[in-house]
Amino acid sequence: MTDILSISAVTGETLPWPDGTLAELIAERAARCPDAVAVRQWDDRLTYRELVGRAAGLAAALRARGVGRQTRVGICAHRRPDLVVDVLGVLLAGGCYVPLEPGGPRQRLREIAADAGVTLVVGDAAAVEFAGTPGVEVVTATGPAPSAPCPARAGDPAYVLFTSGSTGRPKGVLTTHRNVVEFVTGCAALSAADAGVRSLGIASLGFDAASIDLFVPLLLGGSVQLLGVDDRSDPDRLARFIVAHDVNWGFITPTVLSMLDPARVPGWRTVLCGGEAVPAELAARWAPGRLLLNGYGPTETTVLAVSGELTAADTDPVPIGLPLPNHRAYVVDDALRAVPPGQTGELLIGGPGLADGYLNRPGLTADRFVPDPFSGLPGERLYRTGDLVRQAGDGRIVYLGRADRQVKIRGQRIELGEVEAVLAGVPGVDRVAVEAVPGPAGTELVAFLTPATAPDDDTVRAYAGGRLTAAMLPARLLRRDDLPVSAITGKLDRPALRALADAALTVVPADGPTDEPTDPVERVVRRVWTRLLGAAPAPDTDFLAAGGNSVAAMRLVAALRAELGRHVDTRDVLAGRTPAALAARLRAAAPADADGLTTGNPPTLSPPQRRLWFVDQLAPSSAPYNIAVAHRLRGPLDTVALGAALRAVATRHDVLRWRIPQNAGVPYAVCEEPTDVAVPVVDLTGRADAGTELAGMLAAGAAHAFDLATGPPWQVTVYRLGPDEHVLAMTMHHAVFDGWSEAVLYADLATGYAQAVAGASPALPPLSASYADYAVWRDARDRRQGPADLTWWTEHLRGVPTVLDLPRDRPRPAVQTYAGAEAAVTLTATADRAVRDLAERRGSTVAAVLLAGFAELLRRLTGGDDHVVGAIVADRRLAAFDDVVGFFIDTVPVRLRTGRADGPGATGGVGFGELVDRCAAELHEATAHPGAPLEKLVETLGVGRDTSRAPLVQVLFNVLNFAPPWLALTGLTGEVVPVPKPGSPFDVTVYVVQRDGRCGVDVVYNPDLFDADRIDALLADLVDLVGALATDPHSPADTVAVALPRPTVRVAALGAMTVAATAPAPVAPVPTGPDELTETEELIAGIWREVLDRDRVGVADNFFDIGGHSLALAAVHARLTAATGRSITMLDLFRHPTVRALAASLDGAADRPELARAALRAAARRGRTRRTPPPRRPHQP
Amino acid sequence: MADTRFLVVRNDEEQYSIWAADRDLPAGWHDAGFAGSREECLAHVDEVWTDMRPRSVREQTA
Repeated sequence: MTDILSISAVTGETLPWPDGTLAELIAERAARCPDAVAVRQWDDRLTYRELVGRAAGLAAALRARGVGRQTRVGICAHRRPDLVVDVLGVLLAGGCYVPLEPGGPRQRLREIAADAGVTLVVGDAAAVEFAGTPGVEVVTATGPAPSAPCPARAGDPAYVLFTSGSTGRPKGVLTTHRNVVEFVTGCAALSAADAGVRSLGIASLGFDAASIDLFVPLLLGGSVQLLGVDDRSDPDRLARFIVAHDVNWGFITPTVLSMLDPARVPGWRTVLCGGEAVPAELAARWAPGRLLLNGYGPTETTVLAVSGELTAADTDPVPIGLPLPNHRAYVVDDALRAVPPGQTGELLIGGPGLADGYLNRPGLTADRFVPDPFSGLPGERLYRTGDLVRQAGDGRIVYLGRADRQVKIRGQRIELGEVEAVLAGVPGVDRVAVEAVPGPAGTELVAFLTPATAPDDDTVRAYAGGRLTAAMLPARLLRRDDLPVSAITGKLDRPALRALADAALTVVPADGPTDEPTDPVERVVRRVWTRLLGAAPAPDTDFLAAGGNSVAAMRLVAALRAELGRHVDTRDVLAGRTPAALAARLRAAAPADADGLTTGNPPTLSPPQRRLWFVDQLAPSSAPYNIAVAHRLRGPLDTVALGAALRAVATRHDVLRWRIPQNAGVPYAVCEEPTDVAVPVVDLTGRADAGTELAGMLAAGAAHAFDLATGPPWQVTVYRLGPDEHVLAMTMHHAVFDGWSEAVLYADLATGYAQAVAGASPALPPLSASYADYAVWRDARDRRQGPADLTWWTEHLRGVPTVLDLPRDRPRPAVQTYAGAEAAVTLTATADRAVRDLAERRGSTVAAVLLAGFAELLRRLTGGDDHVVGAIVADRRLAAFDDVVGFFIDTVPVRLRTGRADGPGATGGVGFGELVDRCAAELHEATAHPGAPLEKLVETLGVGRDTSRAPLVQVLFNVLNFAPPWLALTGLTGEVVPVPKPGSPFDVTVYVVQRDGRCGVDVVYNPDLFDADRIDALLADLVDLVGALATDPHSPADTVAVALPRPTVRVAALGAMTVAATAPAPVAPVPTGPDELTETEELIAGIWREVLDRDRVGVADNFFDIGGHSLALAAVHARLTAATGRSITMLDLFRHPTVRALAASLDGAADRPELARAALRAAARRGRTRRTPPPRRPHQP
Repeated sequence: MADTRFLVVRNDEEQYSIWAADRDLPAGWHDAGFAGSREECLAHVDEVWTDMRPRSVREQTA
């Protein structure tokens, strides 16, 4: 006997399993819970009674044709609940099923059927696929039949799965009932599965993971949530299916899992992931808050043989775990001798999961299933997995790659898995696949890295150079968004990779884009395609020839949907096949048919509008949320035609006719009828200083304080400077307008004006959806997606500082002012080049590079390495909203982490390149969770109570750089006249702009906080810092240009980092004991209870701690004002957030001395009541 | 490795495999009376292992 301690050997715990066949055990379960749902697909449900009853009918038909023990029967069926009837029917008859997937090449199907000796086929696709096949009969049930006992024994085969080996002909693995029943028992134990399991039925029947999907729930009394083919092949639909079916448990491959967003499927508590290596990044994303189990196992050992829990702390390569119950694992060398722990070797598996062998392949079986020399159990076999592993110090097994993936490069024997394992360790690399292909200089390695933004060649080579020999370094590194995946197994498609690698070595990529399409849809298609498939396509490039497959199609569709808001599906990709055809289909795509859009809704406020309304109430005298634009028009302006055109615009875009009154603090929208728009003309002709006067008037107009309750929310003024020179100025409240709307407004205005000057009455085509339709659609979307998105955000923002204080020149006013001032800077040509180069090399955007530079600047300014800034996201996700004027903007938090990923205490800083990647990822993530808007986050994080600053986001980084739209009116030439921004909703807003062909930064800041000199210096230093960092992306960012920013930027003015004194505090300390309430307290508490829908409210409870948020505050304000008849500001409610403090303030605030006496009387009453306890209060000892 | 000699071996379930001729036979495995190169042994198994069902299953069926 070998000394077991000195070799790599692990044994699972002992666990008994039921002795019986799958059919017997499911029938037993059905007898105990006949009415429980066994299988569901949307509204199509099968109870256990129905399942077993119908399976018995099929079994009877099969037995009538001679099916009995060990008879192989083909199943060729679509993914409908009846598929499970077919499976159970064959098993009940005593037979063994052979999956024959419909839809594939028929020749292959027939070969497998012939190889397996199948003469009978069941399933709803059998008749079509096997029509006219000699020797094959299609069997259907003739009706229900009484259940007869299953004649099979536990040792009989239950199914034969054909797996394609690395060489040639598929081999059929014979798996027995005992194999599966034992597996289910162990799997249920390790994943804590019980009758409450609602499994994810996603695996195709030909993949052994289908045994997890089907038999784990059915042996336990749970239910299978069976995905149809469409839901299975689209990540968005998959997520919807999971939520709608309440899936709580299930197996999935890492490739498909990586396309899902954990926050969207919070109910899926137990995730088994395997079939291929699970990247640590994926584990980090999915492990928090749920049980994430790795699952490893070849078909020959029945689904899973090794498993273990994965945590966010695991690093690549993540351990695959420990053997399942009753199983053994050994690590051996070429001669099947066990190697010491820690040493790499081939993994051998023993235990009751071992299949009988390969159908009709005795030699192959004898080669792969070998005598067990280790356990001492007589006659036992071990399966040689062909997988290279090592045993880690904690006993867990670590998967390293396939043993048969050895190649010779320039005479050296190289293990591809080893190269992959090293490359996977490069920071910023998620997944790696390496293939060896013949190249011009002999066999060469080609490495595929994900994501498309994976580090550049230099970075990868710098990392790998010290860990790999020269021959092991890949000749080419290709970055892709994903790796090709087999549609059947969901695993990496190695043949497809080899084809891509071949192509990569023979084709020299062209230098840069040569024929950038002008059509915006085609441009998006080309960009997304390039990102996913690694090479820019020509308009007629074939999708499949370019390496695309169904999984790539799925990603393409998701990306196009997200970018263009048009409803396309994978069929459009696979039918269209070329970028040109796909673009044509996209243009023709129905506007978001299945996205829940309803039209014709009455005026309805969207959540962001309500938030703006609230801010407007809070500071009604300022106009930080105005959008002001102006154009100088040369030529004869027809003001009557302009008025008619404006009326046509307001007719088309009803939101411009909205007003927003309130009722008891609840805002609502009212739409006014279209009326003639009178255009006031201010005549400045002949004024000595017309330019200055105009500037002043434009600024005043931009700062116009709209009264949303009375409307209209926009205004237009024409300034006449001469007979043929006018300035057309328009100011819109943000609640009805956004940056995108500007282009829509100009286009419609131009159309209407052209019609009017031609003598027609302007008429614009009605919109297919209105802003109210958006508000209703959005509300439904947020309700559906909100909880999951909110979970994501709270998780994402956990522990982040919610306050960002830049060094400033004056104390922060106790109440935020919205004063605004502007500054701007343009990058030097050198810095601009460096930024663009870096963006290109990292496959990133210029904005992400600038954001990363800004993040590093913030780190230097505050000394912290974790900040939140805001970004702007346009929620125009459906094509129907393209032409709608309105407020579609969300501000989303963007978390900027500049520290080492492995936490504090680690030495050496992060390179700027990695910061850029993080920022790019962060900007991308920020758009993906729209269901929980900022106001919801503010409410959840409880940060909405500070009146001195905007909640959560005090610095905005606006990367939405539309090309500035242009107003072109018939017979006139126009030019944009800059209008000063009317105010600053944030401390600082940074706009990324293009100026004179270079990148620039515009800033709007609050001059009550910052001096102009400081901001100018800050911008100058930002530009220098970004330039330096972009030129040196590999050095730790904190070692680059250490003299920046200069002390004038870095050091705050003396005493400025304080908050200015607040309003006077209440006259006396306010007692907070559980006393009788004064009348005022009673009144306030009553209103709180009503607004917050609570049974009780304590006098000392903080409004914001007990569910109070901004809109609730508005409701309290309205009711309190009505009840007391006094003028109370909303800020009073912020300042006195408890019932008692607010009452004290109302009863006798210091600034109203005549009321102080009332407060004293109230205090005295409290004193008295304290001495006289009320009746019925329990006696206190 | 290529010149290692193997034995064809069989267990009590009458499942066949191969084993290096110079190593002790694991418990419960018996020499099936054929030795040769790996390929020769596997070819021999292809000939003699005609019913791949384990003996216990075969006997239940009979």
